[in-house]
Amino acid sequence: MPCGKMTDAEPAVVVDPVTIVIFGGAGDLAHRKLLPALYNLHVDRLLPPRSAVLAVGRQPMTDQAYREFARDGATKFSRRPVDDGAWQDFAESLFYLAGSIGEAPVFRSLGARLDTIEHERGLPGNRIYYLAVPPTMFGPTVENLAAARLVRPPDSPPFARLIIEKPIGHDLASARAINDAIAAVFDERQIYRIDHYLGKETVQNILVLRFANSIFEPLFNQKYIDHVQITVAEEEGVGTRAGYYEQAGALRDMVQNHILQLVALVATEPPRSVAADVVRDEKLEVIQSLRPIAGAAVAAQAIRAQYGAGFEVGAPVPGYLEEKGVAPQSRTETFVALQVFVDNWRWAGVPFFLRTGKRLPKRASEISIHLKGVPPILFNANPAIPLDANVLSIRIQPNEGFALSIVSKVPGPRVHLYPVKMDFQYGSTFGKPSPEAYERLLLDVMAGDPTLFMRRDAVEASWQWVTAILDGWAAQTDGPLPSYPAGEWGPAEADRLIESSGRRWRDL
Amino acid sequence: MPTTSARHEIRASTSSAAEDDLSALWRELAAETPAARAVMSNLVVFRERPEAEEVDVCAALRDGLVVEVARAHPSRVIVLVHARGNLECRTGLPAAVGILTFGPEGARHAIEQIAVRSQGLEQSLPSIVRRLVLGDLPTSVWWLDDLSVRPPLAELATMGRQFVYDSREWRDVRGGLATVAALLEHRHAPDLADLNWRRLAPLRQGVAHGLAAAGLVAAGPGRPGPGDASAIEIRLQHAPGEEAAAWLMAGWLTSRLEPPAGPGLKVTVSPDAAAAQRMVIAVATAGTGGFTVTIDDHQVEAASPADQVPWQMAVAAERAADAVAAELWTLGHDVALAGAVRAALARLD
Repeated sequence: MPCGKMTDAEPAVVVDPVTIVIFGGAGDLAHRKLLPALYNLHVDRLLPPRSAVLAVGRQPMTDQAYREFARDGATKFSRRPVDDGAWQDFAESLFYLAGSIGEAPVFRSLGARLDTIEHERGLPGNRIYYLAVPPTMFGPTVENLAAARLVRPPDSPPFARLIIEKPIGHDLASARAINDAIAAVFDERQIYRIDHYLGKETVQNILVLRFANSIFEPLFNQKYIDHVQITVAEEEGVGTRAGYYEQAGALRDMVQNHILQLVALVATEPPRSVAADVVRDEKLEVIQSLRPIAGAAVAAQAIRAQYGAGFEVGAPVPGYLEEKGVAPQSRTETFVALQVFVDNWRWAGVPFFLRTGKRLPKRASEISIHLKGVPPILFNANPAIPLDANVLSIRIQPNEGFALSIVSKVPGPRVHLYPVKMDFQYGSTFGKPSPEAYERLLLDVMAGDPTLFMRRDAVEASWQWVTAILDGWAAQTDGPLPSYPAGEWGPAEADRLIESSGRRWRDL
Repeated sequence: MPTTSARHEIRASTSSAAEDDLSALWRELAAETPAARAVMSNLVVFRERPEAEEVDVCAALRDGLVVEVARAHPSRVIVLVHARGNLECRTGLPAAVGILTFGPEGARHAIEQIAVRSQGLEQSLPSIVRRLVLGDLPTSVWWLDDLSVRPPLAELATMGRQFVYDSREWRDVRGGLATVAALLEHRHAPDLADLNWRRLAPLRQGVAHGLAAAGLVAAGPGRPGPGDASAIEIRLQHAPGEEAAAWLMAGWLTSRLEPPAGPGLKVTVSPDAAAAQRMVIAVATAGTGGFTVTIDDHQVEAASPADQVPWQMAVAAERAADAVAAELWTLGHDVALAGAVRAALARLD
């Protein structure tokens, strides 16, 4: 339902009671994100009554111990304080099964435990399997689920659905292999590939902003847009994730999924409806329209770098190569800046500048759409004081919202112009914090709405585009990577990438 | 009767927690007195204090001049009180957050402030500022110290769109000019705003009048110079404390009169400890007899032998805070100031 009042023709989505099985249920993702999200859904009465969560993990633990683990996660990471009464109700729906998911016997135990829980709680047998495990375990886990007869066909209730997390592969070939392994067990309609960025309110709002307001969409094309910038900045270093990050790097970790999805939403043509596959078809079209960056273009348009020693809010922090678990000769990039073109009629010639990195000055994700300037006459006649062009900025985090930068006359007798902004903030406008992305996404899986999830073809199209860059980098083996001091906005090479076209990165 | 009194709430904080503490303070105030957040820009205020000096970081937010400027030009004010040297940089630097509300009841505005007592390597400062500035807004860096003897870290001085300073504070004019000229050459050169240059505006008008009256056409792109510039002699005498102003005027005149490849004007700058005026500029030419311009605290006067009545203009009194705020309102590259700085430095070299 797009918006407005609910009518008889648009009934509320009915979500049936469900059992959510979290493989890797004692892991970091469950602790920080999934369990707090489920708790909030419970508090908001969005989690269907009697629903259950069965966590599967390697370490031995009782149900009671798992509930304490879950409470710790909710206490630390929930967007609202934990209420004792609400928690007590929620905790009774949490269960734990210890065992290695690489071994078939665990799945026999899983089946028996699911039967017991569902029988005791009067559940209809709807199941969601959440693979919060490394991608190497995706294939074996779904095979074991199938062997244990825990997967039902897509069209016959009760339903069985699968959620998988990134990374879905490390290049096109490995992504296809993972998708093939999963497709051998689950139908595409049962698979929900999470990109949690798509669950964020401001990201969901991009299409609304564009297609529910007549002021913006007529401007979203090469006639009026000078360029687009997308920044996903992390303040933290690699921390305890060196094992994963050394194999991934910023391009795989951020660009292949989150940032390309943002590009797709900004650049997409108007879908003819909000039906899941209609929207996803249009987004796929954008990704397929990305001009490949390959060969000599890699060095010119794909900047990579590693953070060196520097400062975080005044305190010294080590460089990437000094981080625990990082190889001394590592060439893994912690920063990427790209100049990208969407080769279609609407966006012909409009550069999209993308950047992401670790140990940048602050945590900030933003899309900014820079309009072309006004002619150099009238108020813009003085070349020493060029007017700022209008910018529409969409803040994804923090301070979700969007702003429109315009030029205004300063009050007073003289004509002084100054850039000002019209600002919309979710928090202050709606008076409450937005739900966490995982809340929305988990709810969508329960409701069977795949709109905000990545389809196989989109994942593989993204990998195809990214793999060309990876191949180009693989051919550049000489010398160290460029570096940037921790606490700065990236290397000088990234500045040159955008400044060579007469533009500048936006200050965030 | 609506209240118009200002209210200033300040809380102790740390550099890492300042943003969260400021948000909490906003929530606290909003519950008591609704006020609209007024913010046009980021204003980074830098001042240095020795490590041994006890600094009340909360008091840094009450500084009258800084508060007045922020009220006149609503900004997120970030005050850095820095102790320079090879001190250990550390996390959680002492900081304070504040919100100043003002205006009549029902139409109250609020500006937000953060002060940090930083220490150690200057290279650590940009990481503090980058974390605290609001993206999407112009940033001005206001340098309260004498940059002529301790040049600012270029990375800090150029991180804003505008760099505000006062050359009247300079103890080493050549050093100050060199520092500012280097900023002009930086690839992210900020717009310079020299408060001393602002004070010279009436004097420049007087000189411009004298030049026109003497038939000396200013040089510039596509415009002819004054002809034989070597036939012009300029003498500037200045009162104590006006040396930088005198050299800026010398540079400005040079940049206006001297063709780039010309033989050069004769320019002398000298102090006059007993001067009644702030500055006297005497321009002598072979043909017209030249002119003299003087400035004191009240007026500018330009006189030439041909004048029946000298040209006069009052010097408006401007409060320090108003001067800074006026500069903050005016974003843009000051071509005349840049030319004056470069030409003055060339003469001093």
